[in-house]
Amino acid sequence: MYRWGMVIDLDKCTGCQACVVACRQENNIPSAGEEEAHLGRAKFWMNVVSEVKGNYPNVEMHFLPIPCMQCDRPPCTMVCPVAATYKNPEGIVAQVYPRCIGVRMCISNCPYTVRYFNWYEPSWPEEYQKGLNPDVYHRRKGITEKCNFCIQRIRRAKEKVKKEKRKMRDGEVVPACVETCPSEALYFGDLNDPKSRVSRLSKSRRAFRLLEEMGTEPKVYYLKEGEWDVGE
Amino acid sequence: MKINRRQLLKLIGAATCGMALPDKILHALPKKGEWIPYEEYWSTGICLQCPSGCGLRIRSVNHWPVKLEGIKDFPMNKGRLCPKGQSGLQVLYDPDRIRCPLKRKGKRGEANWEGISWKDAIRLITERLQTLRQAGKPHQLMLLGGRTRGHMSELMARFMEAYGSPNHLGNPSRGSEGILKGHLFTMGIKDFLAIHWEEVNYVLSFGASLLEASRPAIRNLWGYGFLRRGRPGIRGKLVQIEPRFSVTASKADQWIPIQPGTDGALALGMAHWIIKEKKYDRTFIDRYTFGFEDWKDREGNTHMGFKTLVLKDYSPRQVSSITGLPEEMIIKIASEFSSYPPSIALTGRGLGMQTNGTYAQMAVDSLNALIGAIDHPGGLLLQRKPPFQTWPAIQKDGIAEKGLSEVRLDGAGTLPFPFAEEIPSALPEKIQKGEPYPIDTLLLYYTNPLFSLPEPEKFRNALEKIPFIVSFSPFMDETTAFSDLVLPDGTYFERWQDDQVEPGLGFPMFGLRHPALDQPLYDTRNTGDVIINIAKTMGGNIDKSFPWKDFQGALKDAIKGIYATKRGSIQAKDFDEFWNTLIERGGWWDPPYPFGDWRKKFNTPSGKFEFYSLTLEQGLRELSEKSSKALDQILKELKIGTKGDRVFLPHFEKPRWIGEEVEFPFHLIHYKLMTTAEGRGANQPFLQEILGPHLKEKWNSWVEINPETAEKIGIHDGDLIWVESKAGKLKTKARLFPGTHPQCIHIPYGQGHQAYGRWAKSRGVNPNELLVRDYDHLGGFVSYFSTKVKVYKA
Amino acid sequence: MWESEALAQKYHKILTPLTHMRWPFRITVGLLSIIFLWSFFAFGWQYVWGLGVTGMGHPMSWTLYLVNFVFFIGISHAGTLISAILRITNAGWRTPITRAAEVVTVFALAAGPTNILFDLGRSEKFHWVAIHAQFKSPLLWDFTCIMTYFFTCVLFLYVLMIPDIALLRDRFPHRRWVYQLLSLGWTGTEKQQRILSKASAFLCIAVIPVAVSVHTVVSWVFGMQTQPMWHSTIFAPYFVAGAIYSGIAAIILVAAILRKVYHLEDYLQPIHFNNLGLLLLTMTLLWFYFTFAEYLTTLYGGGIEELAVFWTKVNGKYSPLFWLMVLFCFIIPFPILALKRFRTILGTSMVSVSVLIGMWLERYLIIIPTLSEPRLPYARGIYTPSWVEWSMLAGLSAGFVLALVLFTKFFPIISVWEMEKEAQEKTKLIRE
Ligand SMILES: Nc1nc2c(c(=O)[nH]1)N[C@H]1C(S)=C(S)[C@@H](COP(=O)(O)OP(=O)(O)OC[C@H]3O[C@@H](n4cnc5c(=O)[nH]c(N)nc54)[C@H](O)[C@@H]3O)O[C@H]1N2
Ligand SMILES: Nc1nc2c(c(=O)[nH]1)N[C@H]1C(S)=C(S)[C@@H](COP(=O)(O)OP(=O)(O)OC[C@H]3O[C@@H](n4cnc5c(=O)[nH]c(N)nc54)[C@H](O)[C@@H]3O)O[C@H]1N2
Ligand code: SF4
Ligand code: SF4
Ligand code: SF4
Ligand code: SF4
Ligand code: SF4
Ligand SMILES: [Mo]
Repeated sequence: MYRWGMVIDLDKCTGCQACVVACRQENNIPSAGEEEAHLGRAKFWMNVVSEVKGNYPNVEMHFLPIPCMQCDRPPCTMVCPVAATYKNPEGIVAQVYPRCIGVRMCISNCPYTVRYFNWYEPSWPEEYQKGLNPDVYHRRKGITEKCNFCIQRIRRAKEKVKKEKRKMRDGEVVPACVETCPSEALYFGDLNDPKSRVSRLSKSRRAFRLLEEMGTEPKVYYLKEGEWDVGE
Repeated sequence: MKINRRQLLKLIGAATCGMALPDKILHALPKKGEWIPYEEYWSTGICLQCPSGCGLRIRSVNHWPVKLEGIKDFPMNKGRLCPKGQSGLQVLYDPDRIRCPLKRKGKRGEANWEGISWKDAIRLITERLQTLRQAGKPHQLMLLGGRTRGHMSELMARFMEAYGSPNHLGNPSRGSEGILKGHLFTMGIKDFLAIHWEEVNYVLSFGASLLEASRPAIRNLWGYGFLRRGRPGIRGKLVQIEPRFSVTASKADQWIPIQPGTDGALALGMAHWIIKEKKYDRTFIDRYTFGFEDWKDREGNTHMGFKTLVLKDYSPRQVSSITGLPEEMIIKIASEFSSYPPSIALTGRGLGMQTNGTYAQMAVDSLNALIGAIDHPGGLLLQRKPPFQTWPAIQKDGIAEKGLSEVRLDGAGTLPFPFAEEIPSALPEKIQKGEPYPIDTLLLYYTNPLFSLPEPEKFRNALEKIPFIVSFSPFMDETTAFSDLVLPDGTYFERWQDDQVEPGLGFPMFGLRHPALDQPLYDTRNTGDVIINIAKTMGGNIDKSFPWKDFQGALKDAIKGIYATKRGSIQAKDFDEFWNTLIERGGWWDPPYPFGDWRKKFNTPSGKFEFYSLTLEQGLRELSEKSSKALDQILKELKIGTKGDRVFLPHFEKPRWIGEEVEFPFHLIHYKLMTTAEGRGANQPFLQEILGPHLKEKWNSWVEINPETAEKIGIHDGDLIWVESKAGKLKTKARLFPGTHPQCIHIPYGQGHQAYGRWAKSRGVNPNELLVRDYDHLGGFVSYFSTKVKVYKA
Repeated sequence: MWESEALAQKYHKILTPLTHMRWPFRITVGLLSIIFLWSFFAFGWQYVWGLGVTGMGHPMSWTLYLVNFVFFIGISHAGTLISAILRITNAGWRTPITRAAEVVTVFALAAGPTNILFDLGRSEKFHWVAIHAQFKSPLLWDFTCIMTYFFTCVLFLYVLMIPDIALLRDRFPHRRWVYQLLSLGWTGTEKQQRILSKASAFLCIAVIPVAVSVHTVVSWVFGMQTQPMWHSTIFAPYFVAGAIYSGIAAIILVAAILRKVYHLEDYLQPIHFNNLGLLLLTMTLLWFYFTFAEYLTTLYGGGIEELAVFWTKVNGKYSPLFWLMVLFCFIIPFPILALKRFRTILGTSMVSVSVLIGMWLERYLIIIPTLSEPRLPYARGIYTPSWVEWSMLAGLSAGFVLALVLFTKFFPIISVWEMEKEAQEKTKLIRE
């Protein structure tokens, strides 16, 4: 059984947001537009946030890409009254869109605030609709959505591997964000395979997880900026 | 586009939530109607949201492109794309694209258009061009090009030459001329230099916006990651010299907030220390450079060498007072730079596009030469070109010869811009006055001067004087909106085009665009085809200069040369196979890079790297003879503030600022964001929505101000403020950003369109409306960073 | 055994509102109906366009509807709970107010959960909560408890109304069929009396834990979540106390208005208001105690995330609301209620208004600041309710009042048979 995980190397990440756009194009996430974006209706399954601190000239600025952490103990799934979100056997916290009734308790209980809601019927100009990915489900208004590690890609890769009667190679399947990251700051793979890149990196001395103290056991690991880690 | 070329995959498309659902949940799923079979295939292309020319793998579903990825083995981007590349489909599918040829109906700029057929459109333009030519005034045709790629520049140039007009402005590296001019005077090179990221240890960037803009953007993003974590046990150092705390500065190990316009002095100050401490690369200097030591010319006159100059004029103390940086800091970076090779010094527009840009670039080039960082592993590489076959000679008739003998309208190549190839920003006055002659017809290809050049209003007034303006743009940008005839090009997904990236990775390479759709989305045509079509219709020598059916034919003609060399990434038994493989792989490349080929590559009078620029000296001497003006007089016209040998050596020229210190206390720094696709990104909602990640800004413009400065003038975060220069004023939102030099303000470039479709129009501000034109006359370009401004609450 | 004619004579003041419909009544009903109907339009608007027509966004995704939900559920605690407690403790002064209290409960309970319906992204799939129930979700516990409570309360109200309905059946022949149906053939026989008193005794006891559970579970909807300043063990009792607090205030207000409008001065006397006032005073103190404890604990030992929320409330962008809440929930009520002199009908009514506003603010401040300052310091939100949300609040309140008003037109708002029973018991006592 696979256990999918992601590693984000903050030392390499430049805050370029290619991952953000890649995710939106892959997963048919429309832009919200100016007014809606200011009301917080823009959906960023992958969200690059920044922190600026200090005073001139001792300024610091850091970028942090935040997808869903795919918690192993997800606080979001428990609270859903209709089990529209659940952790699948491969550890992905998935959303059963047609079942979601939109109470948004999962949203308010996600400590990482990475769940997004369809405040309106998602819409694209007619022309853009030609460019929609047919592999992802069309989320209607009134339901919740989130990063699912590009589950459609994983499923496809699994089908292929099954047909070819072999095991999945490390790095054979990557989500859209990982595939595009220009500085190669994102890694994706099977945490159950001790030899996979993500497994090894997740044990790096630079590795940490967000809000570790909450016991949510995220499967997204970060690598700290700055110091060299020989253990890699 | 034939099916057999594609890797065709019949798929049962899965439009479900796509999960292994436990049975108990399944009953909540819709029972039917969600599974739609589709046909999928992948093709290649080349991105053109910026000049990096990344290879694209295009996923199409039922004939429509739905996702872009990078080509895995494409050397430039190795399967990766930046955010602009990722949002490329919003260029293709922009709802506000021009869908057929348009003819102006109402007054200029009134947006009153009439759709016409291609046949009529071509007839309209050819008739006009014929008449002009028959009147013996072919030089009154002007072509203003911009983001031209590959052989499109040559095709355009060919057309203009065969037609008989010298007024071709088509420089694809517009906006970065300072860097190129520096390289020209020190190395005789007309290209940008590539960075050998694979081995560099110490990167000193003089305002190269490595992680937000720069050329080639994607390669530098990758290079940064590689510098940090690419080689076990090594974490390279990055030092960013820039008045603005950019993303690059934030990711750098050290940020050096320099006084704007003084980078050249800093480079020379570092050179001073390196020379004094004898930390330079003796061998390289002895063998491959000229003018380091004092030298004697043939007449026996002694000339000052770089060493003497630098030791005399640029001690850390002297430089400290110019740059506002402490002496110890200058010494420290000089010492680091020369102690941890391979080191490299990079530059960007912030250094180059100043009134002293050329000399500043020469200073940084010299710094690289000092430590032998040129054409050396971990250093700067001299870009090699693909061995294209040259096209057959251009046929010129008498009319063409006569037209070509006229002077250029923009004055490039004559005083006060002797070394310029073209100066679009000088056009407004010339066109306005109609001197030395008026312009009859203007062709606009891939450029939008009413947005991208300083003082666009002046340009607009000048355009009023031109009776006929033709635009090839697929988008209704500001300038196109001001034209009389639109012959819409397709987007970069819909046309044949080669793309050579300068700089790339040093070794020869190029990418090939081919239509990713069976047909263009709308009734548009590749401008290359249209030009050939026009040439054919015009007949005579012009027709003969274009012996191809279409642009694809012309391309094949050039690419045959590459096939013939039998080198590089594609080996094929015949040209057809070569061509098909080329389309499949998206490009051709010929690694590895041949290091240390200095002698062949420095294209200077001495054949060496010239600290003392003989190119410059000879150029000015010839100019003096030709114009019978004394050198001193010429220097005065070029506004060069020094005399004697120093003129030919990298030295610090005091930058000129426009706007008195008292009234306009701030330097206006405008910059490109990673989400800025030059002047073209504002029509893409994906980019608008993530515009300025550092300040969480989107869909708008803002001005960054130092918080303490802001407090002094009573400005709070989010206030609306006026920014005013001598050229105009703009109102926008103030953002307090501690990474702002107290004497600077920053405005990102890319917003403030008055046209360009629903997403771009009337959104934010365009800093060009504030910029006043001054020039680096020696380099022959407008200095983008010379304008000073004041700010006050709205 | 009561003689209907005589009873009607004796308690004609209670029964008059059932027969008289003058213009103030018509105007009131008209106005309320307009507001109520307007909210249908607002809901339709929202249903068609989506929740985007509200002021919600990321991360402010639970807002006014949830506030109103908690608020109305709170009010519902007044009635039946209090009435049950008062009955069990046999507080003699209770009789004239229990019916009103029970009615308030039932209607508040109808109003409260409706908010969840508004809040659903897909309201039309509301029943899925029952069909696809996932019992790990506190929302489901909530759903269950509220339903139980609602049915218990309806039953409670109804059972204790049967003798009065029988009276009405005899008095109002033209509405006879309704009352006939509802009176279940009550004639007042010994046996019936015995069953009634047994049933009511049982319901009195049963309703208390249910009521407590309801607000406990409502609190857990928040308390079980990991968000800063929600994840608190004090939430259950805090919410229950708050609920009773606002509930009593609601009853006082309703009683005072009914007294005035229907001229029930004979039945609703200052003593009732004094006693209810004392109850309210107790709750004021309890509320203050809980609030103090909650905030002090956060301030003392709270982590960064808790403190971020704490400071936005106490000193940040929510501080005006916070201090208004303190004003309305404590500073105004306490002195007025503490001094016997002010514990008048007017005094307690004014306090009740203040408490109701204050408690609404309290709900607002529990829900909204937490969501605006989530744990990771990156997602930050602003929230301003939209016209739709205000319309729904207005409509809901109007509907609530309308229901009360209409109730008084069909049923006596003071329990006639209980008044009579009490009177008889009293005379019996005197005779003996
Ligand atoms: N994302 C993105 N990438 C691009 C492009 C794009 O549009 N978007 N365009 C491409 C093109 S055409 C070009 S020409 C390149 C341009 O790439 P760059 O030249 O690297 O970047 P710019 O932002 O144009 O240049 C302005 C920068 O110079 C800095 N600066 C201003 N004044 C000074 C100074 O006095 N000293 C120093 N040291 N720095 C100063 C500013 O802070 C700013 O960051 O980018 C290419 N890459
Ligand atoms: N203030 C300020 N000004 C700047 C800069 C800055 O940093 N600050 N940067 C400068 C730099 S470095 C540069 S390179 C210039 C760039 O400036 P320009 O050369 O003007 O290029 P763009 O504005 O990017 O785009 C030009 C036009 O090309 C058209 N176009 C888009 N796609 C196509 C196509 O597929 N085919 C054809 N035929 N046309 C197309 C669009 O109409 C677009 O308006 O801007 C310069 N201006
Ligand atoms: S694409 Fe990579 S480098 Fe860019 S923001 Fe995302 S993670 Fe960071
Ligand atoms: S990050 Fe949030 S949405 Fe993702 S699994 Fe964890 S709790 Fe759920
Ligand atoms: S929004 Fe959907 S997934 Fe989230 S709790 Fe409600 S029903 Fe469950
Ligand atoms: S893994 Fe897929 S869904 Fe998740 S952020 Fe990346 S691209 Fe988006
Ligand atoms: S770097 Fe330039 S060419 Fe490459 S993907 Fe980005 S925008 Fe396209
Ligand atoms: Mo440029």
